[in-house]
Amino acid sequence: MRQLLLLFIALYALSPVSAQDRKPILVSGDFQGIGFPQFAKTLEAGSSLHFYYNPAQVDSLSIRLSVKDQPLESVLDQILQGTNLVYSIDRFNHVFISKGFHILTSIPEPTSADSARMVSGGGRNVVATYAKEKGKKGSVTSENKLYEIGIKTNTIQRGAALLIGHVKNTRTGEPIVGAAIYTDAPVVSTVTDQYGYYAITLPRGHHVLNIQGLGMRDSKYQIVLYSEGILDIDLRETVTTLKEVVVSAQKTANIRQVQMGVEHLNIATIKQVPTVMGEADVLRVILTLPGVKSVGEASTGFNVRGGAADQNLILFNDMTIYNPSHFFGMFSAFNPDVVKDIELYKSSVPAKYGGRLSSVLDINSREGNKKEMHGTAGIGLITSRIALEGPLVKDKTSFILGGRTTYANWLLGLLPSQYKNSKGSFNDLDLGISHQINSRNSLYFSGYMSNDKFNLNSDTTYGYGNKSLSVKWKHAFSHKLTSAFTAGFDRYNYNVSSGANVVNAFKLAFDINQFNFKTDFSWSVGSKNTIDFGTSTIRYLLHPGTYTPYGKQSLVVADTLAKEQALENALYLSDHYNITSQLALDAGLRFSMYNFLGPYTQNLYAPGQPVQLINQTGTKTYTSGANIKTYQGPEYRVSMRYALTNSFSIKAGYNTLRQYIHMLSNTTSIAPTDIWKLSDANIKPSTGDQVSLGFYKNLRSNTIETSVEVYYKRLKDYLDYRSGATLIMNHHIETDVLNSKGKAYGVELSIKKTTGKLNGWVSYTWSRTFLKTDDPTAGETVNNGNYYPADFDIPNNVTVVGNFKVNHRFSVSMNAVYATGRPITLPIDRYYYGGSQRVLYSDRNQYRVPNYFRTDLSLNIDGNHKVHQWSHNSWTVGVYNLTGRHNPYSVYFVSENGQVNGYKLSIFGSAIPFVNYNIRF
Amino acid sequence: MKRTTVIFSLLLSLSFGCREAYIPPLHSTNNTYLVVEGFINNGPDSTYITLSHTFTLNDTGVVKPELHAKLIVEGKDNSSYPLQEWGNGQYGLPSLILNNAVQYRLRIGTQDGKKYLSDFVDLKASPPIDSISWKRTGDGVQIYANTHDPQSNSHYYRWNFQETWQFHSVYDATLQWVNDGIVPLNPNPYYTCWDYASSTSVLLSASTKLAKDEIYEYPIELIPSNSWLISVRYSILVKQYVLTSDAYDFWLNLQRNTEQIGSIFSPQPSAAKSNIHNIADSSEPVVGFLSAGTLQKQRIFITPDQIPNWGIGTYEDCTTFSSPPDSLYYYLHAGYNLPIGFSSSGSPGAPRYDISSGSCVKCTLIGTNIKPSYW
Repeated sequence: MRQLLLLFIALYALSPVSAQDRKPILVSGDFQGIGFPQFAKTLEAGSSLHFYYNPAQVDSLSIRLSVKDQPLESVLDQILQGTNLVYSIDRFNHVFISKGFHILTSIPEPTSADSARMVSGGGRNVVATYAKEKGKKGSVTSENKLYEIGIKTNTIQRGAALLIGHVKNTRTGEPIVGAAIYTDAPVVSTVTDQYGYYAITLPRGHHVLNIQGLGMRDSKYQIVLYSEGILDIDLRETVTTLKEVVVSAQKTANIRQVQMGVEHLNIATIKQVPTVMGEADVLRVILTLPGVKSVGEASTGFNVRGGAADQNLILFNDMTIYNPSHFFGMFSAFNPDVVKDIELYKSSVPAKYGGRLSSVLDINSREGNKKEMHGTAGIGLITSRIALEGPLVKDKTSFILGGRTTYANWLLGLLPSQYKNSKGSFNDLDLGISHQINSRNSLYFSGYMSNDKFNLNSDTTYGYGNKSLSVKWKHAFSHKLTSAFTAGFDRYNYNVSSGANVVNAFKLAFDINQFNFKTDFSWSVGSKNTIDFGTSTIRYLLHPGTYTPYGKQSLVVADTLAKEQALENALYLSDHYNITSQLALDAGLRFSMYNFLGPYTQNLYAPGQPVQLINQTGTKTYTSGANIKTYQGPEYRVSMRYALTNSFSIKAGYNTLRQYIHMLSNTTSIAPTDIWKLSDANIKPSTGDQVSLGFYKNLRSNTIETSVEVYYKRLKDYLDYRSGATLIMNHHIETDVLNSKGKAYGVELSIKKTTGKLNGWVSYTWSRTFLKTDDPTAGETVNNGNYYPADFDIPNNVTVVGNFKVNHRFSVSMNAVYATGRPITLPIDRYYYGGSQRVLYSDRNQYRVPNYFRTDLSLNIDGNHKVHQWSHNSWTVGVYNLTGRHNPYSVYFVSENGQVNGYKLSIFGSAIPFVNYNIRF
Repeated sequence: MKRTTVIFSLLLSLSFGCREAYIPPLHSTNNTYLVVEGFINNGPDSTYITLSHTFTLNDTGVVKPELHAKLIVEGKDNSSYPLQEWGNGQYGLPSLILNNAVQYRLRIGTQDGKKYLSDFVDLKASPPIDSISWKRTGDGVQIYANTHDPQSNSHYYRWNFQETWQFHSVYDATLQWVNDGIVPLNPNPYYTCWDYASSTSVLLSASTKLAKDEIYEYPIELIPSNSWLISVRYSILVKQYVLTSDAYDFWLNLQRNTEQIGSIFSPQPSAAKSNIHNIADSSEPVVGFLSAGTLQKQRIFITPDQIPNWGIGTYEDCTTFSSPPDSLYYYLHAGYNLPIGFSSSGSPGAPRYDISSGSCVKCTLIGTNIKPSYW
């Protein structure tokens, strides 16, 4: 470390002497109306000064002044005042007089006074590295400077060399994730990882390195690569200056990426999309993406390409979030001030992820500012939120802390009258700490907590919450081999209590806990080949239900369902291989093994008979740690890309997934009282596979991205329920579930404009999802064992999301959604029974609610953009459901006072104005 | 922040959720399924079974009884008890003494030759009702059922009830309009009447999760504050049945599918399992679940003076107007209005009569003036 410092000092001494450091030249003399050439000659005579000028430009000058020991600069200032002539003085005291522009007197400083750092690597390889000097104000990244990387040799050797480094934001010091680094010839590209690191293997020699980061100014580096080396890069934020000429960049990620069905959104985009009550909502925005649907407005559960809501793995900084919603589904549980970006994998799920059938939603929070304290706060109609970030140790350790709370009770008063006396509240808290130990090791800590409490017009109180922690250590073994080790704990629990009837008063509790440990390695084998491999271990501990008396008079018998434990291990290996510059292949294999563990008493049923109580043959008790049942299998993840041109590519993919944990719910959307069940000897894991094909074409210099994706997906052993199934406190839940099959297929079209005054996207999805419950051994089928549309089978869906920047302080956002109504089960007949008219239902999901249409509008008004003020504020004003259309959430028939009445229930049945005030400091 | 406040209050006045009536798309199904409702009652109370048919949603709501069917209660001991046809789809026996240790089933032969048979069912005898209690709550008078089974054999309970209430017409008339003329009415037989109603919802509870087989304060019926049901005297007769677990599941499903549906988290409708099948075609849906056993019943009375803060309401908003004798024919001839008595606005020389609409004067237009036997 000390050596390094010395080096810096030494180099600093060598660096060009800047004007301020030069000894001032003092000028004396009495000039009375002489011309410039004569003036110059006079000064040159008495000093080391030498003047360079064009006589034609100075011939109108007549110098009339008397000075004594004045600095040359001030003398020149006086002389040239009122002309368009300027001067430059270099360190050899050459004075250049020019018209209109300054003569540069030195080569522009290497990026922010870079310094070549010599690091000895293993005695053999001496690696030259460019690192930036810290904190120098006004440093500029120079694109003309040539960076020589590696051990300089007279002739450039043959072969390729690895270049690695870190990309960060000059201003905040935060790493820049997903920045593209590429060369044009040959076409080699890479992106920075979650922590801002990159590695790229290039042929030795001269290259122009292009760097593009989201929200960052595009930059180019001229490099000569002699051997392996490090190049750390600082990027500056895109500062929108007046009359800026927007040079459209080659944003070709969608074309070049091998994976398909990946959606990436950053928080700026998320915040543009108007949502109910104006609160930026991560999960609501996902619903505007092609292939993502939900059953209704009061449901945060989302369905990806025909998958159920429990088939999405929701990761928040590597923490698994089981219930991602607040306030029975109206808000997502993620604080928009902390979230940085989201990634949704709909089709090509990377081999490092597993455990859910449909999708992976990866939500990343920002890293705290490593340089100075900042904060944001927002006041909305429902929630208030605050986020603080800043350095704990400057440039090394930073934190970000976010919190939200609500005052939402009044909102419930606006719900349909059956919810009039309801109460609800929620809060969430996020904490992220990142610490850079040294250039090879960094440590990340994340914590998340959410709490919800409500009662829906009754004396029954519901509460639920997520609690998660994760610690990640990122270590680079070498330039080619990097790794991340992650350990974490996730918990979801809910409880219900009711005390109105003292004899029946009860408390019901459920929780699921998981301990995770993951290792992820990334190995750059060569310029064409990157291998990722790793392991994942999840230990589940689930308490399916504890039912206890509440209060002294309660006669409730305490009942506890035996805890469930399991171990899910997985190994994965995937290879990203650029076969040619056009053809690339991503091939991955994940092998997962699941063990259901004791202690547990497993119910046994006669083989080949319906799993029903009459066929129960007994029970078998296993001791602690005993392996009760093992499920295992390979999961294939293959995708391929062929780039026909620089702006047109075709991709294909096939992947299989396995899911060992099931959510039990017989409501259409995620309810807070839904429980999770681990696969056991009687309940098999669900499996699924998907084949997809996509075409990607960029238009107008890559400012418009278009794509068409087609998929076909199959699901097996998805859980459905017997009529009248009891899901809560059921000691033999296997007798109430049925195994279903599913199939889903569809076409997704998307047009995206990412830059410009008008940006946004239009997506159209045609898709179908069918389920079939025809297990002959189950003794019960749904709809006679035929395929029937799933609850979330919404064939047509059009979404338009647009944002128009009127000027720098004012923008308008609009979104519009049209969707086919979701399937429902309608009555076909009436009859009298139990003193009332009642209805008899048709086969499941044979009808649909009326089609859905909604438009939202919001205006974003920024305060002034002055840099030097302690806070910046903005207003968001808008209207949700502008047309006030009564979009039905459900249609139902209820027997009231002896009569059957049909109702259409709309959650948001009118235009809802909202206003939000945000402050950034 | 002033702006925010303004928008806040604006928002508060809005209500954004809404529930509207929905008329389903018409579809023609020719399906009409047999509906069997009933209880084989072992004891002095009558057993009756109602047979009807399902009808489509757009049918005018008239029950379609199944007439002239042959119903037989059969015991596993080969005993058999043919039921009598009581008309309007009702079949039954005034009293039936069965053997508690034997299972029974119902055989149905319909007029069109179809034959149905129920599964054998256990006779479940209900323990006595401990009490029918009530409380004044913020919403009105809440009536509860309380029971327990010291033997812990019952567990699944169902109730239904019949309510009777005595009430007065709003005006106590002293005159009546007979043959286009005013005649005195003394005594007034149209001042005091009784009306009846039966339970329309499924009342169901289970004690399976409790340490004792006990039901405490199961809410049977809520009489809204100041309802005219408790204006003079109110009575409720609660019948209690004990169910098998299968029968409980059937009723629970019926309750969930037809009464507790439509909330955000309500489960989806699912088919209710019947224990009655078409012998020739087991796939033919039959609606209903046959139970058997002995019911228990209890009647209580409530008068307004027993209830704290009870304002006596009326069944209708009534107003009077007065008429001179020469206009009486005009007002009363059509029969919609009835005279009450002499108006205070008149004078002995020029009498006027108070008149109101018929249902405010004559209680038999609402109920009946025949006093029930238990009153």
